[in-house]
Amino acid sequence: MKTLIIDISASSFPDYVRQYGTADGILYGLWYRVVRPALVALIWLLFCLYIYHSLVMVGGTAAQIAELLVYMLVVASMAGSLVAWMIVCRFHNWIRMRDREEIGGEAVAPPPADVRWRIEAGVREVLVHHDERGVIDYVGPWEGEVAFIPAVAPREPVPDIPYAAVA
Amino acid sequence: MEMDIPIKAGLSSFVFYYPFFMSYFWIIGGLLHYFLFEQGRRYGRIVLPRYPRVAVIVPCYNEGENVAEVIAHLDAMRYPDYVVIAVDDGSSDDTGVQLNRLARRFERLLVVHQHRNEGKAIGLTTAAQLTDAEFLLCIDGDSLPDQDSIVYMLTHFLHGDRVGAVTGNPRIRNRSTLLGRMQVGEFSSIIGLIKRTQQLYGRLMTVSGVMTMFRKRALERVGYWSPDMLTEDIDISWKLQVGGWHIRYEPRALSWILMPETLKGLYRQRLRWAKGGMETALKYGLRLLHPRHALMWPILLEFLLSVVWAYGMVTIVFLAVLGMFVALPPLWQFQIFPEWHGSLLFLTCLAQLLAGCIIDQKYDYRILRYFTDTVWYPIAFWLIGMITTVIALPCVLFRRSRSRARWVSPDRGLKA
Repeated sequence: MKTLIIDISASSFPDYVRQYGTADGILYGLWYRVVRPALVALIWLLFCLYIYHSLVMVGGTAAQIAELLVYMLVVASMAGSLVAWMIVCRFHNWIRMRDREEIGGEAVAPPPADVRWRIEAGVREVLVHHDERGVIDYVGPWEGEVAFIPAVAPREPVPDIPYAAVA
Repeated sequence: MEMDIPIKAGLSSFVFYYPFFMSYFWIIGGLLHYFLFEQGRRYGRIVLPRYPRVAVIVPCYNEGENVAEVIAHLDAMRYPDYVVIAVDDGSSDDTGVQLNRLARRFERLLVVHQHRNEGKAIGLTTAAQLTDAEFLLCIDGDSLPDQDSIVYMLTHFLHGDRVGAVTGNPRIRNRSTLLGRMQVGEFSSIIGLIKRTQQLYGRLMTVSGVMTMFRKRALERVGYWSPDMLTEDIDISWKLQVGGWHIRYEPRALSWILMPETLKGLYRQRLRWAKGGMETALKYGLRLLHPRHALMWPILLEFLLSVVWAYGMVTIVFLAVLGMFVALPPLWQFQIFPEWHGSLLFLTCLAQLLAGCIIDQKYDYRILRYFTDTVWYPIAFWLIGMITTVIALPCVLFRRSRSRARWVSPDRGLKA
């Protein structure tokens, strides 16, 4: 998948010159290979100084170390809760059984736009019209004679036409 | 006055503790998911018990630049029984012409032209209603799925008849600019870790619109996608889960996508995501109060807390900046650079970024080289997330009418 990645900044100086010309190529090369990495390094340096100042110079008191211990305890309890929850989910299938009942029952509303359409065999490009609510009201070939196929009532069985036949 | 100080302490504590502990929660969840479900799993050919028909649905709007590459890529998927349905949703560029040309070249391609721009949700629903496939792999017009993605995703469906959707692992293709490179880290450390943690919990906030496979029967049951929602992926996720279906995350199902590489493009995208999340929370909020949907409560609560956090953070930043120029009463005084807690938060964010990148190194093997560029990300993410959330809430609350959500040509970043 390496070829799918688009990264202009990974090019070499000669590549920039070849692609953008001498003047622009040098500018691109300087930005991507020199200035930008330097800016990133500078920001890392500034953040390190900021952290050093705030944690070492200002922080590090006994109260703050005690505060850190509390945080570690909270994080550990979160991890414990998550593991416990996973165990509960694994051994108590009542949650999933209830979900199964929801799917099988009438609680879920029937689809409002359950209108299915058939496409004539051999048709590869179709035109679709919708009404104002976005419901399909016409399906026909994109070019040539329009082969209008009426909608099938939602509860009627629709003949299954494999796509192999369509293609 | 004595009552006021706890309010100030409460606000600053919440603004610190919420992202701090949620970060560790996501790191723990991500690592647990990795060691329990990903490490050692087969990453290659898998034999399925059966090979049901799959329809790959590609809704396209002004994707003329990408559509030929995407369709050619889709034609080479490693799966025996699938068709590709490309929906041209009234594009104003040459997408439709290109698709017709491609239909003559690729036998498994069916091109659906919608007579006018109807929006992504209608495009997806139309394609779903035109096919007899049992499973629908819905991808974006710039998305290039891994060749074995269909097989990886089907393993969830074929071993669990309550699974209604399986979402893939989006990977950023365009990594030329700092914004692009930061999003590489974001998709691993924020989106990847959150999805893994939520999968351990059992409910997902959202599937990824760029690549998700659906069980068609589940979609029929819940009434397909909602045409009036800004983010059809968040809506269908909640719709399916409220309807009793499960959603899974499959990290092996990679999807290579293009993301915005300009601040304007990124802002517009994130604002749409923020609005979409709020629309969905408002739409399903009351229904979720029923005890039957108790498992969705933590997902809703976490989302609501993130909105409260954004407003709290804006308040503190505003007062801190104002305090630099105007003398404010003690209650309104905040530090612009919080030293001890700010550093802890920054280090935590870096730890989260590193954890996400290390986990996703299995799928995106050079990802760690982009880690250094994500040093900007803690600030960029919080700023953009905060601003878009604060703007999105009034927009959604005071939206006068629910009109059809239609396409806006997205920023797909730099290509050359």
